Amino acid sequence: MDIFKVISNVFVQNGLVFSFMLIGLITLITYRISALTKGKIHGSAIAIFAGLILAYIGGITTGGSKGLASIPLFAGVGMMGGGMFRDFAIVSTAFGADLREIKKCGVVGVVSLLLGILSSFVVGCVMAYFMGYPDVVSMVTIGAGGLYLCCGPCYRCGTWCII
Amino acid sequence: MAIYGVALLAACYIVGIVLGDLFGVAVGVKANVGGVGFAMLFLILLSNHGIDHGWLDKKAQSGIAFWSAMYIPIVVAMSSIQNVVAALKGGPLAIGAGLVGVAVAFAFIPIIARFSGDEKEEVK
Repeated sequence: MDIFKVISNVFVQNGLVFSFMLIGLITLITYRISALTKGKIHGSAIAIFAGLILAYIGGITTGGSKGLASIPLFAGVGMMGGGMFRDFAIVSTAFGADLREIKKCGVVGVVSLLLGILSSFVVGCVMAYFMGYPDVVSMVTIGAGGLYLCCGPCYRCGTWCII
Repeated sequence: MAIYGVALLAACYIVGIVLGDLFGVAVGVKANVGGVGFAMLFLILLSNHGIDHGWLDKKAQSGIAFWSAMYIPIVVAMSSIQNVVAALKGGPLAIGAGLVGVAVAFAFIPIIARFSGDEKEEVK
């Protein structure tokens, strides 16, 4: 019992480092699963889905709103997946984008970027309106959520593909 | 040194977030408006300049590349701290908005591709 307490204390006090280990382990397992499907389902998709399942488990076992981080032992994951690291990593993905290649995309690239942003935002707002969230704040929240999570990754991938 | 790259990335991030906060105050929104976007723009411009002019060497670039590679793991961590229990209660809307959003964006691809003309081969 004492040994368990000592070990769990180490995990709690070194939450961020523990979360690197934990996420690495999840990634390893999920990429192995992806290899079993012969790469038809991408490892990152399975890893994110596994994360959501863990978040669900964390949510129902504690009744908390922070998913896995609701469990004190896994609070460090909350830091790794929190706003600061997320935005820092997102900014870093801009590295490697070649200005000359971006310029080659020209007007069509800009038009497609704007259309993609506008369409997913409008779709989110319209869906929210007709599915029982007619107030402005909810509509914009759903619209922006759709924009960020559908459109964002696609453009990042799109940019990479073109480059 | 890898830290030079990390420092450049951090500087772009901080300046971008500050600009985003100031922009938010200017337009009267209590939020960061476009901060991450500004930061990405700075990073693209500065890293291109640095690579072209030689002041951002391979080791410094590896400092930025590391965080770029950490993006997906961080997203996995982010997904594991979402309030999935609450999200499932509002499920049909979230899934619907996601699916229709992607479908509409895909529908635009042939239209945009028609305008791009001779650039098609480059995209492939």
